[in-house]
Amino acid sequence: MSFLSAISEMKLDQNLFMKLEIPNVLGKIFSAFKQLFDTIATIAHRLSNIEKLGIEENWAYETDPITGISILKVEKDPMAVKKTRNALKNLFQ
Amino acid sequence: MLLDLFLDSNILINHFCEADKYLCSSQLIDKVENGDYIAWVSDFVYSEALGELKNRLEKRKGLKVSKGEVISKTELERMIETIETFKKTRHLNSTSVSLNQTMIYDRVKTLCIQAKDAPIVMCVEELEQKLKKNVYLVTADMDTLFFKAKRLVKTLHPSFHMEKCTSLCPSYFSCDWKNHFTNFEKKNHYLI
Repeated sequence: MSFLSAISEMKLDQNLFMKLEIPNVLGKIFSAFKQLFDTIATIAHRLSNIEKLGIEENWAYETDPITGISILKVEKDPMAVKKTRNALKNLFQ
Repeated sequence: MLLDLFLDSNILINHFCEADKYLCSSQLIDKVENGDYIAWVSDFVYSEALGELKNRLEKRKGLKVSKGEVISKTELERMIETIETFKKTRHLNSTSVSLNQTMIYDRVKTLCIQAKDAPIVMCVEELEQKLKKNVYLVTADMDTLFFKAKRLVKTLHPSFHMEKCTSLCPSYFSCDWKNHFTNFEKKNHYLI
């Protein structure tokens, strides 16, 4: 049973219901709420990313005195390639 | 003397996501790790690789156009973590270069390459200048970058380290490189 037929069974004036544009107004209210929640989610996500970027201490480049090239100083890991492959295999599974 | 190679983002992507499909790229990374070559990767190449990983994950989730946040924070963190782990590969140097818009315009005009590829060429040029030796740009982008960048820098296909492409490679029949050059002496020409 549709919402409109339920209204008519209640012997309400359907024209009046449409005239008041209640479905339209309800739609707008829901849409406004959805936008609000989307905005809150986006802000929360961005804030979490800012926090993430803020703790990137590894991004420290040192300039080689002879060549003048900036090289990222990071501790090498002999298992790095293997770890990378496994991590992405799991992620894309 | 060890060759200095600058890796394009497609080499990283092939290694990250399609190691089984493109044997040459994944074997090249293994050789870098073993100390056969010195590899250079720039921070914007890592950014491009991260973007491509994100795109692939979104496509995997069945989304052609990303609407809102479809990838969880955990998945993003795992992607970033993977790239950070990759930076720890032995004999692989992560570097950063200073860029300016005029230089990018200049490379785009000279080589007729995409704007996103201009920093890659500039980075290779800068490394060559500072190291005072040849730096080879390794790219699997056979449509544009490989041939166009050759006017300014030396380019290599990721299969250059292999004596011969093997038919066991899953992309043997579709590989652009194989279609362009069947004679492997041709690619060795760039190393002379």
